[in-house]
Amino acid sequence: MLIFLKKMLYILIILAVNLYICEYISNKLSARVELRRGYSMTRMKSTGFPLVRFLKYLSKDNRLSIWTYFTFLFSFLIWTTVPITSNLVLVEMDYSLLTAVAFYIGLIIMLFLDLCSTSYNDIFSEVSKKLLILLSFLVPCLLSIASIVFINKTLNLKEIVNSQHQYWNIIFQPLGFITLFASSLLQLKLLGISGKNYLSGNIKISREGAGLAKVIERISAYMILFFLIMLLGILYLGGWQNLYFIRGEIMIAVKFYFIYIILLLLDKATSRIDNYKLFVKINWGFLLPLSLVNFAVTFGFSIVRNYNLF
Amino acid sequence: MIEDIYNKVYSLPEAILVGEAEKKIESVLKDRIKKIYKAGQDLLIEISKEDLHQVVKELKENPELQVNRFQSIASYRSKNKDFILISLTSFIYNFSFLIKLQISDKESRGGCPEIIEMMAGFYKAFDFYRDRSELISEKSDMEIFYRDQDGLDCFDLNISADGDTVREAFADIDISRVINSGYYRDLEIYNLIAYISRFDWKAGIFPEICLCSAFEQLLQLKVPERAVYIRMVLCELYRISNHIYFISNICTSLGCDVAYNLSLLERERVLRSIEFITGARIIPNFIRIGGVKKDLNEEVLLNIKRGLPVLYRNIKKIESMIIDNFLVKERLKGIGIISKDAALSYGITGPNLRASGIRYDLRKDRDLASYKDLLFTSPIGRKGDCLDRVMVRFKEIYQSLRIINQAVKRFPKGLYIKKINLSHIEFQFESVSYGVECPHGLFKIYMELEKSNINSIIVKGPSINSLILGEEVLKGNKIEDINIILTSLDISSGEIMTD
Repeated sequence: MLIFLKKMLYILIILAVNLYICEYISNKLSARVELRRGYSMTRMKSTGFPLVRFLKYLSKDNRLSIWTYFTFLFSFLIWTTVPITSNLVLVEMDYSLLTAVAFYIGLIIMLFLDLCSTSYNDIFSEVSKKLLILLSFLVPCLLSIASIVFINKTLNLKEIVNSQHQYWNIIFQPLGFITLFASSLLQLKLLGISGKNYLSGNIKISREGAGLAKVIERISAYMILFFLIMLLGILYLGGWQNLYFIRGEIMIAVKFYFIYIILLLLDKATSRIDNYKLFVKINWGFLLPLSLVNFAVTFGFSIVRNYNLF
Repeated sequence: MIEDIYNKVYSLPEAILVGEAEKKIESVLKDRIKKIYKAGQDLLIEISKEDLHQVVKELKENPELQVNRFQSIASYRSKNKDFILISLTSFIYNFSFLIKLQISDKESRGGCPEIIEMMAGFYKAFDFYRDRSELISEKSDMEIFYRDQDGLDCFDLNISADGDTVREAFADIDISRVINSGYYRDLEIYNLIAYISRFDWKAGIFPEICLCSAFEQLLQLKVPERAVYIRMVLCELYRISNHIYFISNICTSLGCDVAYNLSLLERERVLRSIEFITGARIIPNFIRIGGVKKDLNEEVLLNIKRGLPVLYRNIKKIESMIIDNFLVKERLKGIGIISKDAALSYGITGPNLRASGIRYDLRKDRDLASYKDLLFTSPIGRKGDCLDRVMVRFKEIYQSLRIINQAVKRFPKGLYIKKINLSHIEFQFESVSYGVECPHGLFKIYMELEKSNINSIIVKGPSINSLILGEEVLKGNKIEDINIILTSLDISSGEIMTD
């Protein structure tokens, strides 16, 4: 029990520190990209900016939907099954990938319910659109994850990492990596980490200066993003494998921040996607076919290899 | 000398066309016209209210006139009488008419519903001037206020929607009213030059040039060549500044942070050169009747010349950032399409008109300033959608850079102002109308002068026509596209403000 609590504490500390650093990097990058020096809070020295922002949000009163709370709690539940390093995992299980994905889907559904509950204008049309957008993200994600499962023949995340001791999966699955990466980027845009929120864009106007809700939403959004980045790192980039003399823990941190910064830069470089048609065009016109091709090729290849057809 | 003045002040082909039109109208409508004369660039027809229907019908349906474009309508007060001035244009024959009719005091206060109703039968754009408050409250499903976007903050948009598709849109400009009349009456002409810039604060030089040119035309004054070139350089610098500002607005709507910031940096570079010449950035107060306020020295010219390649390179970079981006292209393509017919009938001018595929540029068509000495083209679009409007503006920036480059190279020597003493000049009752090609389109000023006073002055910018057309264009588009469509029309809030 004590070990369990200790592990939980470690995971929470890691998440909190990551949250702080990522928020700081995001603000810093925004200020630099927008060619402003910003007020002193966003400058290099003022590392206290995320804390100040957090306190600022807390100082405001706001109504909260029950689904927002659920989303918040669910976003932390993901980390019970996803191993941060080889030893640091709360619940050891054989189907950790499956469980993590199930939690992720649950989170998306919660997010969707949260959005539905706060849509006030023309609910049917708005909700159906959002559902389609979220689904279109989920399907390519799941397809690329399924391809990895076919390659490694396991549903355990630790085993997937261990199987990459010689070659990283990105070499066998470049299309899958592109799909998952693009999907993560679009989700980052939707979640509004860098201040451009689409999914709850209409709601923000009505609850100007959102208080606790803003904090909770933001933390949930970060958790989803962390999960996707960890998934990218673990499934495709060798996870916590040692690189020569560099320890695995350092390697996973390097990979994590590398992907995060690349995602943020791409988010800044591309325009805001607030158009439903464009979303559908990108997802159903580019991401889905790409992931389908990847899945079909992997599936065919695994059948050929298993049954020794050639 | 006389020939030179004649060629500069009244361009020959237009003068012939206007003369012909004057004869035709006199022969066709001789009983109904009280007076017909040339007021500056336009032909002014004075008629009575009863004859308006017949006159407009004849102007529109006569195949030799084909006055198929509505330009503007304004009411004003001169010599204790109320008048209405309707500006109509024949696109094919390239001349414009001003119809002036006297109305009673009661009608003036009521907004002349009869006249607007009558004109709405001929020109659809007149629907905008009807009293639509009941219609709006009856039909509108939602109201959109753009308070954070420049240019869109001067009107409220009422929308009747079918799901997320706009069925009808109504722009309400009542929120942006200023008192113009009475303000200029006590002003001297030189003070008026400083005051007039606020009508188009994005490109403040154009109202000044328009006002001074109107006086020059009235006085038959030939501006020194050097002054003309200084004016041209300033015009093009302001055009570039305005277009870059437009691009930054589009970037805000699209969410392209990097391009937005870079475009503002480039605008800053242009504004600095303007400041170097005029001493001011937004309201230059630099143009004078007969020339300009200050001469340009070699150092300034060299600075401008050095800055051109840098500006070109940076704007090219911004263009590639916006136009080569798949997301942006897909977002702009196919929305807010303005057809050629709509563009002509609603009287939009400038880049918006050219984006619809109609090559109409006052700099070329009316031979303004010394533009005919320089090589440049007026870029046009194909479909008339938002992407075309953005592309046309980018191309116009390059053409403006080309003009500046040529102008700086062949900068003439001589006087920069022909000094005249306005205090000694007394006009008989004169009316004059003058238009220039400002970055949004045709910027027009109509003045009535008597002795040394300005009786009335009407300023009409092109943005109001763009807004009227915007109502039409929004129909059938998605609600999420409204912001981009309206931004792409480049509406200037200064021009929308009415009396």
